[in-house]
Amino acid sequence: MCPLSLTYLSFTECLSAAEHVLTMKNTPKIVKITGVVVSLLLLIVVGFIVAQTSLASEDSSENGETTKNGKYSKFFDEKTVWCDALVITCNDFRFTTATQEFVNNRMGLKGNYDYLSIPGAIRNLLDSNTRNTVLKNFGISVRLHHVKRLIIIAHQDCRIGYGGSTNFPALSDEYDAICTDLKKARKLLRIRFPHLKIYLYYGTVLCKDHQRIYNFKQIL
Amino acid sequence: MGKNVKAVFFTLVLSLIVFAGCANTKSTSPDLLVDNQQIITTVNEESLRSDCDTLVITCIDYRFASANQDFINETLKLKDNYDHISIPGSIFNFINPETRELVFSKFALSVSFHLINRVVIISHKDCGAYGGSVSFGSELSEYETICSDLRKARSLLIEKYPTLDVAIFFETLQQDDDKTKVNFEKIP
Repeated sequence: MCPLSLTYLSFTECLSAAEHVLTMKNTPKIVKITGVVVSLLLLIVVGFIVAQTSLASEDSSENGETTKNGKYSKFFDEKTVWCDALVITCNDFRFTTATQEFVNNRMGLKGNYDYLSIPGAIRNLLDSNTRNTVLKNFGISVRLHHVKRLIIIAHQDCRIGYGGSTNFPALSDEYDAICTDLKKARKLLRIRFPHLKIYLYYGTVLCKDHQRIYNFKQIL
Repeated sequence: MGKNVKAVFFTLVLSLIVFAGCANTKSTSPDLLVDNQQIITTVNEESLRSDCDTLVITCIDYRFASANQDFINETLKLKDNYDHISIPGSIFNFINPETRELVFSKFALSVSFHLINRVVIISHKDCGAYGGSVSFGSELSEYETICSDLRKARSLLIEKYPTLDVAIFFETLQQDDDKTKVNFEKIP
């Protein structure tokens, strides 16, 4: 609300300035320059208002729900400690231990992250049928725990999301397909949550004499 | 006159800068620079398996995330043997009739892809999806509500998959001196 009222203020100021300019007839050169400047500023302000209202209308549905329930507001007042990150990953059992190790120790986020794991991870976000539910669920974490980062971990041979490695002609094709999906998801999430930092990772696993070697590569 | 216009312009520009600043606040947390992390786990022949037999459903809450991992890995001894589905409110969306179909289809995916014969559901106190402890009024009513939801989820799952063995847990935070412990209670 504050930025809107600010724009309104500056808008009225612009009008009064324009009136000033119109009444000054003894300094024609200044009038010309200031006239141009005022119209430019007016344009900017109007642009801001339009952008703001479109953003507000996008958010209103979500806000409407929370106020309708009236329960989150109470919950909100009591909390003082928030968490740092939201980790979104797939539920695959081959990767759970490695993902936990990666996030807990390598990233140093132990006890400081929301762990959201759904079958197919980011695939659900790109599917238009499930997108709204998934975004709502992300929204809960963002709203209630004030996360600052999103960490999305996709992995090789995802059977639920992509039908497994066998569905792709080569490993590089699989990598490319999943990377494009990750980037698409990042774009979508940036529209919805512009203040969050988003990190993408791609996990691979290699089995070699009684060892499983996992590698988590960051996608930029 | 000129001074007046200048003052007006000054306030205008200032307000625009303030507005632009308000609109573009970015988080100040430092960057995570973690790339190409190799994690090596040894697998012994006995526990090596090509499939898992348990599905674990938990809430995403950060206060319980690592406690859940320890509980599942060590106490339940399910390490490397479980699909972990973690969604806000754990079974809240499953109980909710609007989203039941969607959530159930996801559970069904996991059940059908792997050889699941056991499901572990963990709900916790002060869950954001339910609106936190405050929305229940009292501790007892919160406990009752969540337990009845858990039981309902169990019967819904068993209705679809009669052979499933469903275990349900309720976890609470316990303040022990300076440490916060997580207590797990099995719901009959």
